[in-house]
Amino acid sequence: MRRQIGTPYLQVARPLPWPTLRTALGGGALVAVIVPVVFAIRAAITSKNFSFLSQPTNWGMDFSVLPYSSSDPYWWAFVVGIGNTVLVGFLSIVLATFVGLFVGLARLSKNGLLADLGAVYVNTIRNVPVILQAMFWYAVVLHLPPTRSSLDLFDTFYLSNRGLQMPSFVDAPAAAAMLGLTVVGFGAGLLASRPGPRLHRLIFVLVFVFAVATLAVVFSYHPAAATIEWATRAGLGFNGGVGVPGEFVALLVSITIYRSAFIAEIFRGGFNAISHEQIDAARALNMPAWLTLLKIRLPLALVSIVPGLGSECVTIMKITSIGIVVGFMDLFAVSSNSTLLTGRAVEVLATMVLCYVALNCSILLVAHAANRRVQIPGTVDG
Amino acid sequence: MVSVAPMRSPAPPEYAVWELMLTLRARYCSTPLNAFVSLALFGIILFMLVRAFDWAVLDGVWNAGSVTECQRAAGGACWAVLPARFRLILFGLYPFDQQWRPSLACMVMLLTCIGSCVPALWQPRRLAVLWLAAYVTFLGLMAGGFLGMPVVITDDWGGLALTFLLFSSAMILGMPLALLLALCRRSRFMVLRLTAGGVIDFLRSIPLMAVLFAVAIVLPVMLPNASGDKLVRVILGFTLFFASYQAENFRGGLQAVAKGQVEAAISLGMKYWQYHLKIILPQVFRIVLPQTMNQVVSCFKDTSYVALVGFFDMTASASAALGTGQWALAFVEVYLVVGLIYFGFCYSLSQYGSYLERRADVAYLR
Repeated sequence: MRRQIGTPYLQVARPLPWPTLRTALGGGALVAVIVPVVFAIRAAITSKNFSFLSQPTNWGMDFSVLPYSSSDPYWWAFVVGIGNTVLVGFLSIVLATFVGLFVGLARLSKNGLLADLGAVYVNTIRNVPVILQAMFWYAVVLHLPPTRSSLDLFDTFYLSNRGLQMPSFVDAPAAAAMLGLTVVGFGAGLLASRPGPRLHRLIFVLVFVFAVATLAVVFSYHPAAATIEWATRAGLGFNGGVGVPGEFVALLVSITIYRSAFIAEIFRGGFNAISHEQIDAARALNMPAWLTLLKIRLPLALVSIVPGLGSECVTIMKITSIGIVVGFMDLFAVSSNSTLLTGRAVEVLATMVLCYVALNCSILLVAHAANRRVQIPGTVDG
Repeated sequence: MVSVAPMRSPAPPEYAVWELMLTLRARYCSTPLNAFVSLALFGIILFMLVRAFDWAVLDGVWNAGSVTECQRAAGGACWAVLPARFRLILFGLYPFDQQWRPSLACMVMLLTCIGSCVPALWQPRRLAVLWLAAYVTFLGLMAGGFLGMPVVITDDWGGLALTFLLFSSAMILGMPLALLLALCRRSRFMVLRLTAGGVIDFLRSIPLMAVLFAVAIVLPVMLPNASGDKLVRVILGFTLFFASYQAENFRGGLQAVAKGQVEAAISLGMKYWQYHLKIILPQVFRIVLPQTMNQVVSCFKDTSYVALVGFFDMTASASAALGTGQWALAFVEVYLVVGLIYFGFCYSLSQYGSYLERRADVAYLR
């Protein structure tokens, strides 16, 4: 059917369907492709057997943030793998954001040399594969001096070829809980001091009082929660403190450095995107530079920085899968081990993919919430 | 940033020097504090450069049989590892007497990459012919089996040649696939839209590592008889992963083209492929150029992931070159050189990308 010249505009603007024959042929071809694929997937799923998840693994891990032994079942090994992935990912995100912020600010510095140095850092780091960087840092860690002559920083942190020895809390879980409570209390106190509905402020005050009271009670009856255990050299090893294996250090350093270069560009872009009039207006009001940065430039920059940082978090979580380069047991390494030892390749792959998708979706939920929070009402997305 | 003077006729030489001085002052010593910071930083940089020069050039050793010999000689950089190991790094496990073939193949690929930067070749047909010819030559040289060249199985391909192969495959197969996926994602047909969307979102939510693991290790378990060559599977997986990211870039570009253009094309009686090829896609290519160049650079870096599923690409062979005890301590030198190769390629790609952007800006007068 040929379209007539002079057809009314509205009809033309709406795309007309293809001639029926071609549509039918194309649809038939598609169905012919899709139906067998769907059936194959269904057959694959129904013939699979996930019973291996409850069998003991019989293999150990050098380092895990959650307790793990070789008699634990496979499903727990996956949980432990997720724990390790989240730990590396979370620490990398925090550290890379800090490094990236400083490098980004350096690139925006009024001092030309500092800006040049920032540019050299970003361009060098961004253009070398992260796997090569991880291999390099792992080799560096392996060639550090042995524990007896380990490098020390202020007699507190010791770097040796076995990794990093650092101070720890005597009762680490209690200390972590207390730290969480402190953060909650601090946040509640901050929110309570802001204007808002009366009931909300009352709840915040109650949470704050509860947090402070709990902290006071716990610290007076269980001082181990606040006691730091220092690491000291002893013979061929260390006494006290907690040891972080070299694999973990190498992985953390390489991911942090690699992504910090990208995060620096996000920060630089965000600060560059602010229209100059806003800063001029602040200056006209005689606002000091630090207040301008805190109250004008940062909130405006965050509008475009936060979405970038959100996708950066997902990227970092996915990049932790290179842990296998240094032999770190993250989610991917656990899956790879399970595949080779159980032979249940498809089931393991499905479990792993499900875990990664769930992990990334939960990060994106947080990122979207943060994004909504920083948008300024009246702007395009606000 | 640099205070850029507005366009004007070239200043006489005595003013040019003066202007340079002014620029330098604005950039490096606008205030006393700034001058002090510049001076301090300059001192640190100079010190580090001198140390690096000492290590690399003055104390560098080119003739030694092992790292311990190097250390006995001067204690600087042990460059002797490079002549001893460069063939392993560049060509992996490729048969020693046939290594002229991967080097020629790499040359062809490199020349094609450089050649496609020449504006005279920027026509779809010419570029397609050039890249396909180069790709076929590359594969022919690597695989052999004709003109008296013995066949070399894909398990032995490695080093820089493998890196180039993965990269060029992702470009040649991945770009059209990405475009197709992006068009499908915007199709009027729900089946196409959902399929393309599902594939893209799924691949973007899992690590590249998982994709390569699936095609290299899981697929042979699923289909023991029909899984084909391992390298081919990995190339296809890598290409699909690249395409799913690039498809999102293309989709952004397709959305950015004003709707009125499509309506105008339809009102002229143009069909779907006609107005896409003649009206929409030329604009899309220009719009998505920056993101595409980023994607291409990250694709080149991501080729190193195949090292983790048992291939000897440049990264893996660099680490293998250190494997034996005699060179293990020369890891800084080897990783530095391999890193420089990656850096050289990626940095020139991204610089070329920003040149193209400036050029497009000038042509478009945005």
